[in-house]
Amino acid sequence: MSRIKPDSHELEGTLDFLPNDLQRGPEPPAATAVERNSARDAAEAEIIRAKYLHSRLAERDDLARDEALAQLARTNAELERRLAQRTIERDDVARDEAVAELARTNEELERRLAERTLERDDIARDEALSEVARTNAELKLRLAERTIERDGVAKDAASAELTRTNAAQELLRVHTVELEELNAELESFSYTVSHDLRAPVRAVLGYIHAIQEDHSGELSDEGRRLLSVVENEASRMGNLIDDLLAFSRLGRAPMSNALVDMTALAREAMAEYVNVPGHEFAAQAIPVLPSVRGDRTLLRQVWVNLISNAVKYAGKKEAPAVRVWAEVEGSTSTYFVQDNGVGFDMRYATKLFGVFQRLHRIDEFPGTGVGLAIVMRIVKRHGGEVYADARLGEGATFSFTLPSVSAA
Amino acid sequence: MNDYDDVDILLVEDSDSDAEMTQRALKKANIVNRLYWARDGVEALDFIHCRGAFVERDSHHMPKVLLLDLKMPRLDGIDVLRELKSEPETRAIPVVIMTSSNQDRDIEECYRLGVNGYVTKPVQAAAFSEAIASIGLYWLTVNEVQR
Repeated sequence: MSRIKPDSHELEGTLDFLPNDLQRGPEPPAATAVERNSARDAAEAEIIRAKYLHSRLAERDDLARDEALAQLARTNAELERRLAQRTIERDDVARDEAVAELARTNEELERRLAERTLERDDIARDEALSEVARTNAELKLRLAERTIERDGVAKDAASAELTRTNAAQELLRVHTVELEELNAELESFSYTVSHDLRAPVRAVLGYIHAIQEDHSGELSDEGRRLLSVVENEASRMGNLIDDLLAFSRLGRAPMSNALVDMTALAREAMAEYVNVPGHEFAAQAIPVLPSVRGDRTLLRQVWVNLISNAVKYAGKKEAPAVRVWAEVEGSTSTYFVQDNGVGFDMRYATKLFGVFQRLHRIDEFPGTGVGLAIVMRIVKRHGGEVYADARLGEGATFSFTLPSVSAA
Repeated sequence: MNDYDDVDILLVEDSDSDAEMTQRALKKANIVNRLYWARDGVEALDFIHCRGAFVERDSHHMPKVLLLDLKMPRLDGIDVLRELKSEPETRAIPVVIMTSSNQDRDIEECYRLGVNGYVTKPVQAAAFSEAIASIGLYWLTVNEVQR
């Protein structure tokens, strides 16, 4: 019935607290006068006494049992209490101990945790540091590699560029040398042409002139005609040589750079060439033309060549007309020379500006075919372009552009 | 009297035809002054300095004009010009270059050396005659020479 089951050795000696009468047993009742009267009475008395004793014993047994039970109950309770107390105490101790242990454990754990943390931190830090170091090293390596690569690429590019530049410079130098040599050759060539080719032509013409002056009368009409043909051909050759020389000099002669009054140049050239006997040119006053910066002598040659050409090719028309004007657009001035002459087929326009290129037979229109080539060269040297527009039988318009001079 | 005495025009020219045309043009222009024709630069300098074939020439009589071709065998016109203009005794002799060349470098060099005139011989005969006549008239009749 016990709720607690204490260990048996812990309850040893604990029955001392039971009452003494239960330990010794009850006392029997005292003898009376009745006892001498009769044995039977005695016996009966004995029986009664026995019964009484018996009942007392029974009572006492009951009491004792009850007491014992009560005592047992008390003892049990006490034991339970004490046990509980002890248990509580022990529990307290145990708890305290446990708490202490726990605290110690905690401390230890904390310490170890701290240590471990420190260790771990150290390790982590070391690891982190080494990781950082490794990363750094890697980064440095990659940086170095990339730098080397990039430098390499840059160096390669620079090297390639340098090589290219060097090559270009070398090429340029070679070309310059070649050009100089070519120029020298050309100069030597033109010198030869000017001296050695002109001299015999001059001699031929000189002697023809001498015959015509001093011996014309000795010749028949046919003889004079034949001599005249020889003179014309020799003369043309002389002109070709002179024009060729003039053309070759254009590319090399130094250019002056002055403000040039284009109006005056054009009007002078027009006045010089339009007054062809037997031809009434439509009076075309040349409007004011924009001035340019350049070489006056060369630009005069441009006007002379274009206007004399226009006059030449318009000359055979019933009402020949030459018109000159200019247009300014942005930083470019465009000058026009237009005639209503024979014009030409635009299919041959590309041949126009070549040296000795002609689109007409020499007996139709005289000329060496150098005039427009000279125009082209002069205009190009001034930073401009030359254009031609024409229709066969309906005249031609030549135009050239030059950089405008600012109004200031 | 030798053909080099009292010479007013010293023509230095290696081309027979040019020499002939020059003399003809002068004659046509009624320039009758005496002319000596030297075939190259060496002969021209010998003439001026009265050397070689010209030792007997009167060194006090200098030509009124020297018509000098540029391109000649042996010694060419530039060398003759250089020598004449570098010596005080001959510097005053008028020298006119008569050449086929109209090269800028020749013209520049001649003027640098002190030439008195530079003429490119015209190819066309009439123009050639006119040029010679003008030169002759100017240097022989208009121009005053150093005495």
